[in-house]
Amino acid sequence: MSATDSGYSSPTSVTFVLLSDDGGENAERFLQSAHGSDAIHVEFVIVCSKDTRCFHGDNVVVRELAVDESVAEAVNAAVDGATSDFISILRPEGVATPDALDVFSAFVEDHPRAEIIYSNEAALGPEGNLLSLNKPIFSPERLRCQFYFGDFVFYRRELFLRVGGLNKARAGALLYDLALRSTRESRAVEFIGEQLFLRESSDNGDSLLDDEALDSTRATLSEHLEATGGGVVKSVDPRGVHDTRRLVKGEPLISIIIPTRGIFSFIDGARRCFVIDAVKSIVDQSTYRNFELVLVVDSVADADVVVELVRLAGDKIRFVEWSKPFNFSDKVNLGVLHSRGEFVLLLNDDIDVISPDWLESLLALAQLPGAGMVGGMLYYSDETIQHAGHAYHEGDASHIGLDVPRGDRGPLDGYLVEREVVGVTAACAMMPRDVYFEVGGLSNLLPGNFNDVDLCMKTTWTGHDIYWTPHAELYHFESKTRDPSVHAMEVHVAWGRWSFRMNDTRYWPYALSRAPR
Amino acid sequence: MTIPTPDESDLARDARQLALVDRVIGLQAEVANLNVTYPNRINALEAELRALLTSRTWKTGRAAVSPLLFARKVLRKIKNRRKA
Repeated sequence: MSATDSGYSSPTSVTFVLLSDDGGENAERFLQSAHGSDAIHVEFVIVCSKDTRCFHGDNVVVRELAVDESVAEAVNAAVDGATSDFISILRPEGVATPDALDVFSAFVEDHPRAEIIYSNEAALGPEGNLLSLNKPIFSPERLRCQFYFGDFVFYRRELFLRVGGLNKARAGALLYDLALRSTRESRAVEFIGEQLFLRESSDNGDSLLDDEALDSTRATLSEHLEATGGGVVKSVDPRGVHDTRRLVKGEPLISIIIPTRGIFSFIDGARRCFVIDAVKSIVDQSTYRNFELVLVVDSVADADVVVELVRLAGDKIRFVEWSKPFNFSDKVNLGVLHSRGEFVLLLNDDIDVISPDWLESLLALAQLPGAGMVGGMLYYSDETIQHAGHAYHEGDASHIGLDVPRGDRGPLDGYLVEREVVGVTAACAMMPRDVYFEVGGLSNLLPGNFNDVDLCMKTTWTGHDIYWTPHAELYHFESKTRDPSVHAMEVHVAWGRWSFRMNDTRYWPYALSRAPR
Repeated sequence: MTIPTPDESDLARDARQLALVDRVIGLQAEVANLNVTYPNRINALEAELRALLTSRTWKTGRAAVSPLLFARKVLRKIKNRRKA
């Protein structure tokens, strides 16, 4: 389809609105970097309090702020007077990379319906080295936690006008507010994987948000949550990572499915039964109380374990006997078939709950329209991350954040924000019951390994979204209770189905913290 | 506290249904996987087959064995008539 067919004219034209409050030095540098060409027409409006630099050029307009005029009003007036297809508003604390605008122009030609476009960026490191600032594709849930679009964002001028331009009541958060309102109005959000902007420093380009900016951010996030299904702003952060949460709707029953051998074993010299500890932590810690525990227990289970579990969980617990040979998938499926909840939570028996509101955090995301699966943050007992989402990189499946110390912020603060992911581990995964049945549950062709990868693949294959939250925190003593060896047959089944999707960096475009095991 | 299995036949049916859905999606994925992994494989095989059927070797071989095929067909008819 041509650009003309889509209703938009081509070639592309862009008006850069530069917010210049440093005497114009940065604006001048940006001007020199952002050249027009045959493929793209460029013009600039420099909004400043005083034109000390005397900018020259046919395509440069300087707009000094009038007395009592806000930056938002000045920008809106500038855009009103422009005729370009696209508007980009930025504080020019960096430059356009060579050919950036030609890349942009070609992209628009290929994506004629795009209304919002952002791109990867680069930054100068402390030693003059270039650092990549890679971003995920459009992730609306992540966007309510951080303004990850960055500095170089292009809006169709029509869209800008449709949403009413910048809101002067959001001083300090003008661009974040614009992004949120625009994405509510249009889902034609596209991402360019090339680095089109070079920041001067690697501090994410964000100086700490001041009080005015934090107030505006809180207001704009509240408005956004209200307009997109509800939620609450728990806190806003000067570093730009905001704790916003979706709220649980109603009080649906959650069935927690735990497959277990149900026996005591000696771990580090101490007699221990993981499932007892897991159930105790769930019962003691969880603030959400409408759950049932469905334990699929091997027939060899220790009677003392069962007695203790009943003592801990009372009538919240049910047991399903498993007498067949080991098959984790069949075992979980059996538990689900015996459960009654509107949501099922697959949970390993070797976990320990850390955050009391873990069930609410998972459930609120699982209730989003189109949600298929939600996972949480899992730590090893040595306070390193075991799981912050799945990563399918270069033909292999692994965990995001593996072995990174607890508390690390991660690339683009990714360990701190709720976000879209390609998959989550079945060690802790909540699903709407309907979705679980729609995708055929865990595949019993995969008795021990990759059944969760397959489940995630099936979930997204059938059009559902997967989310990860850092607010559902648990310890996971992985593979201490089962044989972790991988069978060739399992690789054959899982990769026979999904190898073509095993390099999916859309939501996590970063190198893995550790190579897959 | 072990709940009685609600109904063994219902459970077996539901488990089978889960497995069937899994197999269907799995097969869809395998087909998609093959199409991506070997995008031209099916076309290539068809082209190979066409080339084979139009080759001189094939035609010569076909001509050579056709009297035999004809004879076998006739014999089979006679045999069937006798059976009848």
